Amino acid sequence: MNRRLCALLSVTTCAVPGLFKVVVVVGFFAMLLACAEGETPTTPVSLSGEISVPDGVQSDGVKVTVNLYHAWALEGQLRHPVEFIESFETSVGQYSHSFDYPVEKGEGLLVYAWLDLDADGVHCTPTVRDDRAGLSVVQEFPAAEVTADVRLDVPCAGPDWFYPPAPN
Amino acid sequence: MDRWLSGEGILAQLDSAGGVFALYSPHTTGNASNESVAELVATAPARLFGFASIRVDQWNVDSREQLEAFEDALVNLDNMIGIKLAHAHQQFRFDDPRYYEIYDIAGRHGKPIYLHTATSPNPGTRTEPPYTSPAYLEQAIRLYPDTIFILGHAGWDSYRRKLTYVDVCIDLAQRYPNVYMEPGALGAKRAAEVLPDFIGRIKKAGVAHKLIYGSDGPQFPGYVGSHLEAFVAAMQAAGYTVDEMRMILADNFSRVFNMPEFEL
Repeated sequence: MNRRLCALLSVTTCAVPGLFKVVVVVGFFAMLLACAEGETPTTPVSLSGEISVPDGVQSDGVKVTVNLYHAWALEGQLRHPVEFIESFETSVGQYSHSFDYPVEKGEGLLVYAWLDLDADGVHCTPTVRDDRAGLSVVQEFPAAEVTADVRLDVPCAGPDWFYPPAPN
Repeated sequence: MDRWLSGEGILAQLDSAGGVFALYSPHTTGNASNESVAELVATAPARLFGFASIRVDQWNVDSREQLEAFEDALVNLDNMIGIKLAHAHQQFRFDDPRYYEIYDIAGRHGKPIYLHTATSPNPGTRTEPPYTSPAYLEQAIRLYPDTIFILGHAGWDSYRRKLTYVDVCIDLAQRYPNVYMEPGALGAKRAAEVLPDFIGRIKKAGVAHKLIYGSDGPQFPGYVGSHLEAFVAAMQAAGYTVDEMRMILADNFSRVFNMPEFEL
């Protein structure tokens, strides 16, 4: 709804008398609802899977940060991969997370995760390069229940390292 | 918007000259192509200078194609004097070696790179240190000594309104001859509380010769002028000499970009 029209409607209702004014006011509030910033349409998704690490990586009690992304967003020259949705924390092993997927903000679902081995809150520093990451592309999406297993075996890699992958 | 961001619109805000940045940032601010920048700077080639950029969001798929197009633009489009990158906007880490060929191209062609450092208030920009802290650039700075790295915004953490990475920038500028800084947006109202501190740190560190003035404009009518006024006032208050101010406002740019000194 045009914002200028909304402002004009709020001014004009003041000038209308009697019962007709009730009708106008009801109509006015209906239009206000349309004028208000709409909520982003979402669909609930239950995500589960396993976070794993290579043999020899000590991961007990180590925080894993998981970022969820649209695989692709927008169209034309602005079409781009890896559009952020939300983030949560878990640990190595089985995980599950429920979230609201914004259906009009993009398509597909990527699950990216990184392991904070030195617990400094940063995915690698210039001198400490032990934290590792991985990414899983959720197949057969959209769906209400999806599974994504992520193996954390690439050190100091952002999601762009993994996606989109090089063509075969 | 078209009139405001045209060559004529930008020139109307300048006393002297300015750089115009290309950038491919579909995650945040959109795309300004190399070709569009070339058209814009062509309206006043004596006063507007272009910085080419490169699209990186599908690097595993099309890096070769993008690098070729980028180098072609850098070499063959008129008045491209440098390169613009914005890791936090473009969503790639400073320490990712897959992108280092960009720095090699810059060095071979003698085109300084302006890199956005620290954060941005624009939605969608990354805020984590690997995308914002210039410390993560040190490996590249060392590997490419013929490439000039200009640390844009000089580490000004505009998202948190703090000088979070300024000392990192100053340290790199002190230790590496191929590192410079640019203070764009530090003269804006958003940075008013920290500008004196920033100016003081530059003077104390003795790196005025490494600071290339910029404003991050045009932003809105009057911004470029107000940014300059605030910056000059802060330098005067901090006791900068006229020669130091001239160096920052003009001569460092001329020296780094191999251009004649501006008549002020």
